[in-house]
Parts: sequence; C-alpha cells; structure tokens
Amino acid sequence: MSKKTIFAKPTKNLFIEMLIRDISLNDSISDLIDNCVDGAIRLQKEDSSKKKEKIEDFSGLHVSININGDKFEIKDNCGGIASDLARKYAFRFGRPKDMPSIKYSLGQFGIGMKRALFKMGALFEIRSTWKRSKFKVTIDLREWEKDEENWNFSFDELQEKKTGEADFPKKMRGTEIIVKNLNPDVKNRFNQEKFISQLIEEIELEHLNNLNKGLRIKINGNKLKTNKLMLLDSDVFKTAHWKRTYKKYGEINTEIYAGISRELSEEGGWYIFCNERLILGPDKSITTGWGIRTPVRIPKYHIQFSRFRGYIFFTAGDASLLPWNTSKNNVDIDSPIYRSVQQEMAKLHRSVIDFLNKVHSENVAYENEKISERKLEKAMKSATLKPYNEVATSDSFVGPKVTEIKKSNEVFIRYKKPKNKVEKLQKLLEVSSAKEVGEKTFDTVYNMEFEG
Amino acid sequence: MISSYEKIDYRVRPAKSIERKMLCDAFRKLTCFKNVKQYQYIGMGSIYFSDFYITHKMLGIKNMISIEKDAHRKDRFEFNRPYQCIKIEYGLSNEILPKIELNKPTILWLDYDRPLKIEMITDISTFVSSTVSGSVLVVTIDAQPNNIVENTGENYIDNLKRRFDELLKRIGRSRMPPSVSYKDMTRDRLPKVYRRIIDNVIKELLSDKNSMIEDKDKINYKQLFNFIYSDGAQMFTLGGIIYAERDKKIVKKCNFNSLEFIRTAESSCKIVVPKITYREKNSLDKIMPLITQSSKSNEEQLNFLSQKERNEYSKIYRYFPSFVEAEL
Repeated sequence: MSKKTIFAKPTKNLFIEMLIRDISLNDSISDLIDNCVDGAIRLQKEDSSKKKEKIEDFSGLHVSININGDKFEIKDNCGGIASDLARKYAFRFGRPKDMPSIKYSLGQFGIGMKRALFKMGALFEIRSTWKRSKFKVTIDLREWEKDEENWNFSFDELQEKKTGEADFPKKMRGTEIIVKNLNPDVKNRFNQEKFISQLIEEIELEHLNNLNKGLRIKINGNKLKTNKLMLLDSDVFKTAHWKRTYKKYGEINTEIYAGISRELSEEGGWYIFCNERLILGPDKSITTGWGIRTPVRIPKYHIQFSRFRGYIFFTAGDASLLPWNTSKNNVDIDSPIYRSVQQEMAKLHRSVIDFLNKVHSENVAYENEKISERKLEKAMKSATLKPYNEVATSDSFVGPKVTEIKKSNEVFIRYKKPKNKVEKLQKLLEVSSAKEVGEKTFDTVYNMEFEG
Repeated sequence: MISSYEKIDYRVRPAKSIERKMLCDAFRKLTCFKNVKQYQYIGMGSIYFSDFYITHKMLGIKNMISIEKDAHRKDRFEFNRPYQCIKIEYGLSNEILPKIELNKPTILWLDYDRPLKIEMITDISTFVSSTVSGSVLVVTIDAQPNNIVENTGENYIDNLKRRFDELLKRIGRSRMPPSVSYKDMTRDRLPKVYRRIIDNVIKELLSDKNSMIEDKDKINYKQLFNFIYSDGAQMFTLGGIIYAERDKKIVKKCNFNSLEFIRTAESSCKIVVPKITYREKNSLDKIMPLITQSSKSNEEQLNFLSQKERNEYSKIYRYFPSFVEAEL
C-alpha cells in the first residue's frame, strides 16, 4: 500500500453493530424460522414429484426452539443446508448475484441468519445435514473480530458424498443452530417467561400461513397453535375482494380481502402478508389507510371499527419485488407496488367502513329508542366465522339492507353554568333537571322572539 | 348553514349559463371516444338541475345521477327533477361518490358552491383513481378570496395572512405547494393556487397508479377547462379529460382545441358578460362575428358602447343567454 492509499475498509465491530441495530430480538428469531421455511420449500422442490409452483403442504416438517438464560437453540428437519451453499452463499454478508434463488422464498436480503446470531450472542455452532453433505461450523465471534483482514469462516467438520455413494437418510437431514455466550441484555430477556409467551404469540401470527400448511413449530416445548384468518359469512354478507397480477417488473400477485369479524379491537385492522409471511398487522395506522383523505375518505381507527379485518397478500417468485423492509416487520411505503395497491385497498376499506357506520347509527338509534330492533346486529350474530378464502365475495362489501334512519334535524347545545344559578331556575321553572332548564329557557326566548 | 340555492336564484347567473353551454360544446366532442349520449353524467343539480337540463337536452345523456347533500327535503328535489332518468342520491359527496360505478365513461361536474376544502380533494381523487379512459372531470369552486374567511377590520396584509392560514388548515400542509404564500391570496392569484393544488393531487394519484402499469395503459390527465367568472362571487372552474396512453390518438381526434374557450395551462378563459340591454344585443348581433377588432359598421348606432364592451360581447355572443327584460 502506497502513501497515497486511504484506509476505508469497515471494521468488523462497526459492521456487527450496524447489522444488529435495525432488528428486534423477536424479529431476528422470526428470521431464523424464515430460513427453516425456505429450507422446507427447497426440500419440497427437490422431492419434486410435486408439480405445483407454490408449496402448499409442510406436514411432517418441524422447527423446535429452546431458549434459556444460557443458550438459544433452533433445530429443524427442513432438509438441511448443502455444504456448497454454506461454502459460497449462506455465510456471506449480503446476497451474491449468482446465488441460486428459491421461488416464493422469504429470505432475500442475505443477512437473516448472521444478523440473528450476532444479535443474540458470540459463540455459534451450526450443524447441518443435507442429502449429499454434512457439516459443522463453529464461530467464536470475539476471535473472529480480532482479525480485521480475514472475513471468512471455516468448516470444523465436513463430509461430502461422492458420486455413487448413497444419500444421507431422510431422518438425519436438517439443521441445528446453537448460540452461546449470550449478550447480557438478551440473556436477561430470555430468562423472562413473559418474553417467551409474547414471542409465541408473535410467531403464531407471523407464520400463520406456514403453520396452517402443516409446519410444526415448538418453542420451549410449547406447540404453536394454528390460527386462521376468519371472516363473518352468511347469505346476506359479501366480503370485499380484489386481485391482480402485475407483470411490469416481474410477476407480483396481489390479493385483498376486506370484511368483518368478531368485535375484538386488538384484532381489528389490516394484515399485510408477503409470500405468506405476516409482516404487519393488525395495523390501525395511516400506513394502511386509516385517516386518509385520498383517494377516498377513511376515518381514523376507532373502537367502532373493531370488527374490521383487511387481509392483503403479496406473492412473488422473486422475493425482492415485494414491498417489505429488511427486518420484515413493516411494509415499504415508498414501493411502487404498495402505492399502486393502496388505492384499491382504500376502496374496499371504504365499503366496509360504510357498513360499520350503519351498524353504529343503528346502535345509537336503538339506544335513543328510535328503533326497537337492531337488524344489522342480528344479521351479524347469525353469521358464522369462516376462513377468509371460503367466504362469499364481491368487489365491494355488501351487508343487509336496512331502512334509512332519518338523520336528525337537531343539534346539541352544550354549556356550563354556575350550580346555584341553575338551581334557582329549576325552582322558578318548576323542572327537576339541568337539561330541562336548558330546554325551557331556549323555548321561552324562542317563543318570545319569533312566535309572540 | 344555508344552502347556496336558498340565497341565489341560479337561473339568472348569466356567466354561469354561458359556461354551461361552452362545456356542453366541449362534451359533444367526446363522441370520438364513445357516443356522448352513452356517457354517464354525475352532477350536483340542487333544485334547479340546470346542468342536467342542458346535458340531457343537448347531448341526449340518459344515465344521470345528482348528488344532493340536503336529505331533509327529498320531496322538493323529487318534485323539481326534470326527467325521470335522473337519479338523485342523497348524502355527502365523499360518501356517495365511492359507491357509484365509475368504471365507465363518465362526465363528472363537481359544482361546489364554496371555497376549496379537503372534501373536494377527496372527491376529485376518488374519481381520478377509479375512472376509465375518456372520462371528463370538471370542478367549480368559489374563488372569492374574502369568502375563505371573513375580513376583519384589520389591514389588508393581515386579511391575506388569515386567508392563507385558513386554507392551510383546510387542505393540510402537505398539499400546499411550498412556494405559495399569503401573497397569493388575492383575487387574481387565488384561482392559480387552487389549480396547482388540484393538479398536484391528480398528478400524484396517477403517478402512483401508473407505476405498475404497462406504458400503453398508463392514465393521463389533460386540462381542457380553466374558467374564471363572477356573477357575484368570483368562481373558478377547472377540468380536463382522463385518457389512457393508447387512446392518445382519439383525444387528438376530438380536436378540443378548435373550441376557442379551451385552456390547457395556467392562463384562464375569463367569461365576462357586458351589461347590455336586449335591444343593444340584437343590434350587436348584426355585426357578429366581429371581423376586425375596431370596426364600426354603418348599420350600428351603438357608439355609446365602448370597444371593450363590444369585444367582450363578441367573445361570448353565441352563448349569450336569452333573458327577457320586461318593464312592469
């Protein structure tokens, strides 16, 4: 290096710090599960008597996670990582252009595994058995950090089958990752039961579709439950539905469902899925249209809308086309596909809001004794919850028709006055409430001025 | 809040009636896309339904919807409805417009009687986002600066600033173009501000929509109408045609530019109605169309009319409303 050379190489220390900064602990664990899912997809493809483009069945595959104050462990039987993949791509930081891609995968930024490991601790053991290879890699991060020049790792153990040799039996195939020397803050959190139960809840939601396809996930022995995205259905309701395939930059399929479900405010809002992985939801913010003024007016989220459910699915063979951020915990609001689709989302959204507003008006009218029965409430109570893809649909939400509740021609007058004065008038006017004082004084003046 | 139809008798607004006829002439040109009588017309008829009269009579449009916010007096609107093919939808335009089927060629005339507010931007965006190639949007807004907010007794600059603040409050900071200031809240400049705000909304919406679409299907907006007039308060009308890139040739074929009042940019077509008598009008007609600007024909005895008045008349003589003046 001549005197003219200026050093600009990143330090490993900064690199690690920056890498782990933009992701939460939960999301990094979710990332590792994404890798298992990608492995599962790869496995089904290899086993390909399956002609189908998209994999719909993960039965028989499982992921087991064990977390405590001393270590983090994730084990799966999703086919394992080929040694060549490990050698050339899996441990690279970033995704080399020539890496073979899996269609409909979840991993596309090339950092998921490394980032997750660095987030958690400093000593890693990775074992993986694939059809034709078996390897073990041990990484001592503190040692690795010391050598600024060498960014490579090395296999501790490596076995690669030669042509003619039999495959490794299916039972052996899979991956195991152990993280030790946990970072102190991580150690703390892993010791808390609350962390575990929250993690379970989050993963159940994020991997909802994969769980429904038969993937079994266990965290500290707890089997994760399958939930389905449900919507109310009956012969008087039609869920709003829209779908479109964009081909301009590569094929992206989008599908939107907007309808109603149970009256549980925590569940109300929009759910956004990219390649079947939930990245955001239930969202009640302007990101998904609450409070917008264009292209239609949508009010801000309110408990009145707790029955609202919006499900939007983005699916693409090339995962880089999808509108997600690198942490996969939010939608990229600047992405052209999301901006395009937002206009359609808003229209479907509006049609459900219209219905929920009618429900609200009905409730108010019922409370004010203007009507004696609540037809819409009844219709919802007699509807059944069904998985979203089994409900009747239309291009905008349809609910039962009701007779128009006449909008009141009256306005509220509200004001405060000193208690003693009000009581004096109550006596004078011979009424028993402050409300009646207001009404009578209004009528008296009005009659004097306009009808006297 | 008093509805504007209770204050003004729309029928005697001469400039507005001229604008209506001009727009009708323009709508006729849409037949290059599809026979204009098959278009859907959506408007805000109030009790007079003037725009519905003309579009049905002159263009033969049968699919008509009037949006009416005053739901208390349905019987009065039903009574005044001129033709059975007009459907009146009661409710706020923000609520009604998203429910109307907009994916067919439509002429939408949002004839608001108030200064610009956010709900108008919502309506414009609902239409632009959902409509198809060949549709036309027309928006009429009150552009009288002191109608934005009442003038206080204070000085002129303070009034300008109050108007600016009020407008900002109504549409939101993100929709106010950065170079606009209180100095633009004057009679001359306010319509230009309104135009920029609306143009930006349309542009952004179409840009988002078009980002994922093949080039030939991309949607464009071409301004055609930019009218300013005062029958009382100053009014501003902005509008244009929405068309897909592949229909560019059809728009050309429509040949809107052959109409003298078409404006495609910031400069407005000012509709000025000279105050002349019916007798004067008849005499003036004899020398129409004006061959040279300053000609004085032998027949004409109207020396008391200025050249300005004569020119004003010549610009709109074909559309001049025929009111009858009677001495009682």
